Amino acid sequence: MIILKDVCKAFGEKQVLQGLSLRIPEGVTCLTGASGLGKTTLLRLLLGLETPDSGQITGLPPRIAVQFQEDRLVESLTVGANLRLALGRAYAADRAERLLAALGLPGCLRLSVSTLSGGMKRRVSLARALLYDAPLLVLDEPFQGLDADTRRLAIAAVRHAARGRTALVVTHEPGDAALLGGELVRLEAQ
Amino acid sequence: MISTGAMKPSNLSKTEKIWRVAAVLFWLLAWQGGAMLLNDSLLLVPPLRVLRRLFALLGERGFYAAVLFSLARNAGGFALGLTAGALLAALAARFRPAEYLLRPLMVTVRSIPVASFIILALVWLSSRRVSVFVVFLMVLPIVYSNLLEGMKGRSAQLEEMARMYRIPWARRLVFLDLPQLRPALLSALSLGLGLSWKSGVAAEIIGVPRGSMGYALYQAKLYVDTPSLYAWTLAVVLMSVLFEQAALWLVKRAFAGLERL
Repeated sequence: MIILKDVCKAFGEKQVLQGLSLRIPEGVTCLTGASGLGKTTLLRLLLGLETPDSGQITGLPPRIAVQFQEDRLVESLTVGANLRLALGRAYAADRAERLLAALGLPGCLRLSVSTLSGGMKRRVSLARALLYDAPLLVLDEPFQGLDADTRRLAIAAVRHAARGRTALVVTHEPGDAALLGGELVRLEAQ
Repeated sequence: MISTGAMKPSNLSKTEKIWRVAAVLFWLLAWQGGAMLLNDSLLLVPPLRVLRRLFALLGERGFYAAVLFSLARNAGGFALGLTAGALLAALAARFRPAEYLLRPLMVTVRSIPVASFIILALVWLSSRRVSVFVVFLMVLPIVYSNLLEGMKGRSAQLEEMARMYRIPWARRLVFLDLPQLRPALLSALSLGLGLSWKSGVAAEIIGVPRGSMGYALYQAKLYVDTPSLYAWTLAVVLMSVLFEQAALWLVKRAFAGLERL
């Protein structure tokens, strides 16, 4: 269980998070709310990329698998090389191929990332996070830019990968929580 | 990121290729016409005579020895400048005080005329080693400034991704940093390689180390052998172009190999 207690974070004059308290249990938690309310800031705090001005975050595991809001893939490398870069010795081509196929991207391991469409890149960056062996999965708008069919495939893949793990998924679709079989947490303006 | 500059010849359209060749032919004809008008090969040697002299030089063993002498020193100075420039750029990109400390040094090295360095270096070193030192000094600030800009322009987002996925530094260097530094590296190589031959041969002409291309140029000037002067100059230009193209080809092949992984 990850626990946030009275977490505050400001960037200059702008107070983004004010006394946020939240419990993230094992399983899927979907985080939703209007843009600019601090969803991404909250994720960055969990990832250790930002430090809270005050408050406490406990229960974070040492390894976290993440899909950022941006794809953050190396454009000049192939899909396989991008996955191998992040996963290191844990990379297994057959496992990667199976997951990519489940995401609607069969046989794309040897394709250069620069040749992929936006939706394909989104799924590759999702695959990278899902393949990474970590007890916490943090996904920032993983289904953004996906059409209805690929969105369904991606939701099924996340649901499968989140078994036995803690997954925090930022989404603008409140209905995703039910599809992912998780809880919904709505961030609201204070 | 720094642009690699000129368009690749393979990307040129047929019309553009024809125009480029026509422009070269035009200037060769202008050179030939000027030489015919002047009719004094001491002042202006016709291009065909330069070519004849160059072919004659190609038959001499001393020519290849001089080319090897200058090539080895140019390559040595260039490798030293590239290594030192890359290491210092990495240091400056990592530690801001190092950048401040190195800035006056790099500005000074870039501003001092190459002839001053050559004369100064002749006081410290034997004439056979001066060109290595001078090429090193000419290449160092170019590599340093290009790579430093490239390193500063690296994606912070990819850095964060690498941090989250705990990618080891060696893998980061090869698969994250090098692809991002490719334009800066190619630009530094292109600029540095062109300058290395100019400065290296200038050092040889002033230091006159026996057996170098600069020595041959100096001898041609001393004996007012203008065709030889032109032919050796043409040889220096050709070596410079070949050296540059070979180095760029190797680096591009290495990057292409990296991208296929």
